[in-house]
Amino acid sequence: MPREIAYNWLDRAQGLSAEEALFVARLQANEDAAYDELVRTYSGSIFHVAFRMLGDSAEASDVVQEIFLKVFRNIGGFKGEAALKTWIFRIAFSEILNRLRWWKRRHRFATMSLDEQPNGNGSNPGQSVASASPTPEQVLQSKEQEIAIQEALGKLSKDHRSIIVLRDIEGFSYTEIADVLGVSIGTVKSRLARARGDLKKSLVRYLSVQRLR
Amino acid sequence: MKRAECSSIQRLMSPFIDCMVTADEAELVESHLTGCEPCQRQMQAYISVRNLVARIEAPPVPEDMVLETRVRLSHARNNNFLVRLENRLQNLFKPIVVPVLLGTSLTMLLFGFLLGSLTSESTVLAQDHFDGQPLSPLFQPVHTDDPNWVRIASHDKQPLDEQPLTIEAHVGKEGRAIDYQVLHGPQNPEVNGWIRQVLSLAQFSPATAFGKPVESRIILSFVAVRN
Repeated sequence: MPREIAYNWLDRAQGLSAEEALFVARLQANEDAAYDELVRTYSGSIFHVAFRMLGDSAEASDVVQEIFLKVFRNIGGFKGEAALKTWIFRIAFSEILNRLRWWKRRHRFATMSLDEQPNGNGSNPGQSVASASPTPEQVLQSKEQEIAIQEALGKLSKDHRSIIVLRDIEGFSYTEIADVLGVSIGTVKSRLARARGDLKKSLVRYLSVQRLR
Repeated sequence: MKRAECSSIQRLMSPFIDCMVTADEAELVESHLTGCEPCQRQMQAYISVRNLVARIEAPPVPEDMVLETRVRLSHARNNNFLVRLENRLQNLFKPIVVPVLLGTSLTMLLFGFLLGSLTSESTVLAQDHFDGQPLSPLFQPVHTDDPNWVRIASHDKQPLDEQPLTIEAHVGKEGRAIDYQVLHGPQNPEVNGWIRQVLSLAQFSPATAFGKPVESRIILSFVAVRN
């Protein structure tokens, strides 16, 4: 039954390729392998976005699970008006922004401990040295930069942070960002310009390092 | 004038580095940058901040997160009534569906053979035996109170003399004689006429096979009965 529905709207689904429409049909038919593939494909990027937005690995991990559950509950109503990725990230951002509002109500601030690893895996710098073979100085510098970026992101408003994460970290197009956040392309442009301007001020020290390279 | 121009150019810098400006705007920005060092630095800063953020390392996905997500999804999907019902029915019927199908097929095959043999037409002969038992009509003498038989038997002008007459009659499903053949005894038009008269009046109990009337052959012997 759900599969037939998917084939029916296949022609009208402008945002979907035929392959993607079939994948959605498999999800709507509640196929185990399709859900495994969905988690495998999107969990990494959604976790990254959630981590950059929330600044906390455990919270990000929790919210990712909620996002996938929401995708499952709503996939039956997905008619292919947008690409599947855009639709999933729309759900993801709705869930992440809800989580941020929840935090704000409880006066929790997205601060990061200097002891916590910005990449969220809790590994120590020594492990990074062993795996990528950079010098200890480079490792420390990279770690310091990453913490600074995460802190700078944390200082941005959630609208500006969303734009930066989607555009500069995840590489979404302006159109995709507009679809995900439900705003116009003009708004995307202006918000992105302001967000980059704010980041520029926060990261001025690292920008000069960049220029010297 | 110069400051106002720089301000409008700086608003275009962010979309410019993403190639999201029109050709005219791009030309305007490029021409302005060639003669404005502060704006060049601003542009360089925009590019640097974008590159810096873009190079930020993606955090590794916690392995337990993927596993927990799959488990929670699986639970959620199994909480759906229809899915739960489908799974239960599958678990219930999967082990028995093959034996049931096999048994049904074999039973239908067996009944097919049996019905085929039941519906086949066959003629039962007098000498036929079933399970060593002869067909009953052949060994049951015809006893009748039919007045015609009595009349024939007591006819004064019987064509039969002392010589017995033996005929084989072909009896249909309805118990009426269809044909006959004189096996032994006198053969002349008078006797034949008498035999025809007798057989045309005779009503036999038809032979049966599996409870169904079938054609049969019987042998009749006549002797002259004198009072």
